[in-house]
Amino acid sequence: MSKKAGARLLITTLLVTLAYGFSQAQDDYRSSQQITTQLQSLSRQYASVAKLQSIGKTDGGKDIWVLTLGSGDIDNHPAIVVAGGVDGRYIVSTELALKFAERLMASSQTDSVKNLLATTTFYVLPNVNPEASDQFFASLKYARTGNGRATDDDRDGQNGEDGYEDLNGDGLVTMIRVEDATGEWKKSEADDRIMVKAADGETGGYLYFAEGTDNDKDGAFNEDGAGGINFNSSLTWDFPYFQPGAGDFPVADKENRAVLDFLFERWNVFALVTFGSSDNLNAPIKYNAGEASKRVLKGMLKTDADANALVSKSYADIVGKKEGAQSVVQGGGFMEWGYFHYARYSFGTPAWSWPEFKMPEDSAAKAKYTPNKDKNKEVDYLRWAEANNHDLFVEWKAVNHPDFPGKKVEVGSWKPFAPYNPPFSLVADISAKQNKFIAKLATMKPQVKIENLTTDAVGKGMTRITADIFNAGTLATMTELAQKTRWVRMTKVEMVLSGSQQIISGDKVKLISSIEGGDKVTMSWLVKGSGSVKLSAGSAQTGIDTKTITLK
Amino acid sequence: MKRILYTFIILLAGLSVSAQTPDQIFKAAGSPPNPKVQVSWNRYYTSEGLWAIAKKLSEAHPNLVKVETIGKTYEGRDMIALTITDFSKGNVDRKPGMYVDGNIHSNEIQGGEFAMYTAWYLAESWYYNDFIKDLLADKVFYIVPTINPDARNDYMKGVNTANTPRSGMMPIDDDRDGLVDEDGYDDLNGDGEVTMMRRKNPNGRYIIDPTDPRQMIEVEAGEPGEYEMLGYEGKDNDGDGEVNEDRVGGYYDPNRDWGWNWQPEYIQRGAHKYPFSVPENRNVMEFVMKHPNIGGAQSFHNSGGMILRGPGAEEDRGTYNSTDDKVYDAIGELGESIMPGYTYMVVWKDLYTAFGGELDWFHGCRGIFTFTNELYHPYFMFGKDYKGGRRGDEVQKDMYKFEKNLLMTDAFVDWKEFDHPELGKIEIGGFRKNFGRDNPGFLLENDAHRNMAFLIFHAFHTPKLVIEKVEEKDLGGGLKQVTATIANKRLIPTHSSHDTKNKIIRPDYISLEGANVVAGMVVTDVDMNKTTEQKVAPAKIAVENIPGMEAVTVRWIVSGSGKYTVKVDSEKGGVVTR
Repeated sequence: MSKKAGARLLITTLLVTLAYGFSQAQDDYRSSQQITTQLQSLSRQYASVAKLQSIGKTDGGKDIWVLTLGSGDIDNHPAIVVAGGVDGRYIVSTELALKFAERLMASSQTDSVKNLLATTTFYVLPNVNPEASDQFFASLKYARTGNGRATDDDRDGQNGEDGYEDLNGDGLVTMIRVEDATGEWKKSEADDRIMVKAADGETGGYLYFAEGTDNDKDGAFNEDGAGGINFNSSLTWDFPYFQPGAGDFPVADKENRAVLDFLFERWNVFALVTFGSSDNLNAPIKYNAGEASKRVLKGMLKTDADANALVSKSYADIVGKKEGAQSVVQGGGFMEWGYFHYARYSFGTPAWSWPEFKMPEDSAAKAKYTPNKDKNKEVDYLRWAEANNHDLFVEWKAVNHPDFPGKKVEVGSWKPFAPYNPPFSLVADISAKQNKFIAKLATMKPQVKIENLTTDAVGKGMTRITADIFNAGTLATMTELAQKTRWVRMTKVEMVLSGSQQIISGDKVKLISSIEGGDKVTMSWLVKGSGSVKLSAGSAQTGIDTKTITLK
Repeated sequence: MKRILYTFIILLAGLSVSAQTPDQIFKAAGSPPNPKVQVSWNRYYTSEGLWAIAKKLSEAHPNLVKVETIGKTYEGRDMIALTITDFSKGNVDRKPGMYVDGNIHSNEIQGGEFAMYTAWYLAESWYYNDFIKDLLADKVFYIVPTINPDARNDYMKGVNTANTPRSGMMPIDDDRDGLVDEDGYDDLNGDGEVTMMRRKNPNGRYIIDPTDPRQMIEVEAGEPGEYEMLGYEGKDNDGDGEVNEDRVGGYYDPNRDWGWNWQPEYIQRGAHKYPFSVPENRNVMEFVMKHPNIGGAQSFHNSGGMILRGPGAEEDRGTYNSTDDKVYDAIGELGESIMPGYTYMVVWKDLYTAFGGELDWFHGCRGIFTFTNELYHPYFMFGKDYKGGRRGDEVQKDMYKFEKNLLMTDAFVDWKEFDHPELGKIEIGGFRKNFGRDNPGFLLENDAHRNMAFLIFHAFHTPKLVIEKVEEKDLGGGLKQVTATIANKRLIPTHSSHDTKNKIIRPDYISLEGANVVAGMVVTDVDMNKTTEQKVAPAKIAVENIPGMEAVTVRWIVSGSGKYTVKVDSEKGGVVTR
């Protein structure tokens, strides 16, 4: 078997192993406490390849964990960050990051994974905003993005004065609809449980907003509840100033500082995979010359957009193509920061989207459904959920609302978190595909190797050394953007001499900013002296190759 | 009592070593005649030196000066802030505040002395100057003399030029080779200075200036030269073929680290990791966030005689409107008139675009009216206006003349031969680092005083709220209308336009206390009786702004009779009642 074919087999084995490793009995999403316990147990059980560290605590005393997976000189192996919890509503994101670590560890004795861990480092940050996601487990459940910090979301000088109220006493914050002639909402024709915005020139008849009262009587409902800073709108790129959840300025809180401080010290990171609301995997960010040439950069640079397209294609090959997908980019977001300000290859995906409902073929069964003429996605999702026995919806029920005396007010709609997260029974399958993708991304890592090393005797004790500094990986040694920043290191080629050895021609130290995947830089030296010299090439994010060369 | 008196005598005895007795002194106009704390304002002080002055001031003027620690620097030094006000008058936290700092760029040291001179002058003048007495009754000054104390000391004591370090002391890998601070300047000849290197070379492009042999001048095209210039004193410490390419304290810029329109290093050179990733700035930010009463701010840099205001970036033009511009212009133009040599400028338009600057954060995130002064100007040498050509040939030549005739050649290291490990026989010489950007000793106090006068004018114009009129009108049926007019007697509004637009600082509250309020409203047009009712909590009317030199009118409908109080509560305008 050729070397290449061998490597290919190893990779295939790896993808299969990672996708379908062991799974533990688990029937629902896990709280930050359960996650902590699991991380601690992983780091104990797989101590030789898994290190757990807390990089900071939230105001509420919850740890921000990083699980580092890898063996050998982990600081100088190309690394992938796997992050979850950046958007607190997407609790599945934490589960996916954690499941990646669990599967990798469960297979860590296989040759393929052992080899992967010996050449690649993974920094797994399952939940960077536990204060938000833990609202899933609170007595009043609602999809929350803010951390524990008291903030003034509506900028009226008071913090948290108008949060949600559980009007129907079911422990869930859903929606209310109010019969009101001035309302802009109406019931969907396909399913009157789903509310849609009335078109221009059409009367609605309903007010429609989140469950609660106008506590501060300012005319707005639930506009300033508990918390907090939304990790995924608090970072530096295109920061949404003065918007709820952003904070007074970028990176204003403990969670985001802890994560950024940690990552700025990790020179070996070449790529990030973030599960959450941002998406450039189902559809890549398209190159836009105008956006990419603004002084304050708004779009990806050309070669980086090409790399995004390439990786996005691999993603589609593994998880399936999502028709009509558009990339989702958000100001202040983490995936966005990973590229625009951290200058690494950065990828984001929600990993799941509302499944399509297939109308039954049988005409009697079909007759139960009003045709969904508007192709309303909510209607479709609700039909799918009910057909598959997933209880995701609270039926509308009339309540008395103090702000609307004498009016018909109902509480109902989606259970909190249902719009953002798959029913838990689907998670195992989703996770298997995402794991496979991360393993595939690892195979694309930049790898600097010294190839085609030759030595020629030039005479009079002089040797000419020639070598190709070759990037054996698919991705460049750094992004095009990174060539402009100091936060990614150059590929350093260094000829180390000893004794009376002397370089007659050539660079003792040469810094190369970027080598594209499959490209090389040919170098040569004229060295005077005898014995051997040492040539090293690479950087933390490409790995460092070293060769000892005997002088002629 | 006896012990207090004894302590006082000891204290006096200690001070009198350098102080004069009162009968030996004739007062010069505008200066404290016999200050309790004697400071020489013709020299520079290390960070510890500044701290020592601050401590002396707080001990000598306990009712006027308090010193506190606001956090630690990268190297673990305490950063200190002085609070200067009349502590016996009013609630200090609620007085309109003026924030002052200096030396954010560590080599731009005189900001430290200028800020400290301000503290010293305010405290020492309070005893005899009624203007200062009233000012300190109304206002509070927060002064952080150096916000970059680690590198201030490094500039003074380390191996540096006049331009280094500009940053703090966090180690940075400038050449991206994985090593930090491995190749800085070298004081090759051991004279305590980093000057220039030159080498005789018939193919060089420089000759010795015939009018002053110390100066090197570039020859005209087509003329032969005699010397080549080899840059600042140094060698290739790490053997990578580059000289001085990764020095201590380089390169990040603490003035590109602030949280308004922060941009990363590839857009804004000098930016660090994210806003306030420079610990010294973080301390200042936290201090300012804790003092929402700050309405004006001043920072001191060098050099070039500029009175700078935002926006720092062209992209932020929309964050200043004409109402704000008028306030800035009034203060800036006064500055030009009282500081000869200084020009009032807008950063992005008249200088260059810089993202993430300190003044932009004060304005953009806190709504504070802020100036940055670039201290010292070649104008000070001979009163010549170089028409912006501060680095031009004429300035260069005049610097040699000035240094020779007024500084008695104190600021130049004469060229001397040196055997360089890589460059062979060279010569080393040039201006010392304390010349060019730092005020020479005899020009320090003059410039400090003028800049202080500028910031005092600015502080004077932070809001001063007055309840001018409270009028009653009987509406019959037991109802009464109470109308109050609240004026702001100064230039600066309680909320800048950018603040009002984005609701940065909470509204001003005008309350009627002690009355049974039935309804409350803002009177938008007094003559035409137009009002906007506040339906919720009408006793406490929220007003989005009280503009400078203007007034707002509010009205309540009350039932019953009895005494009541009108109370104005403004973050930046303070609290007044009537």
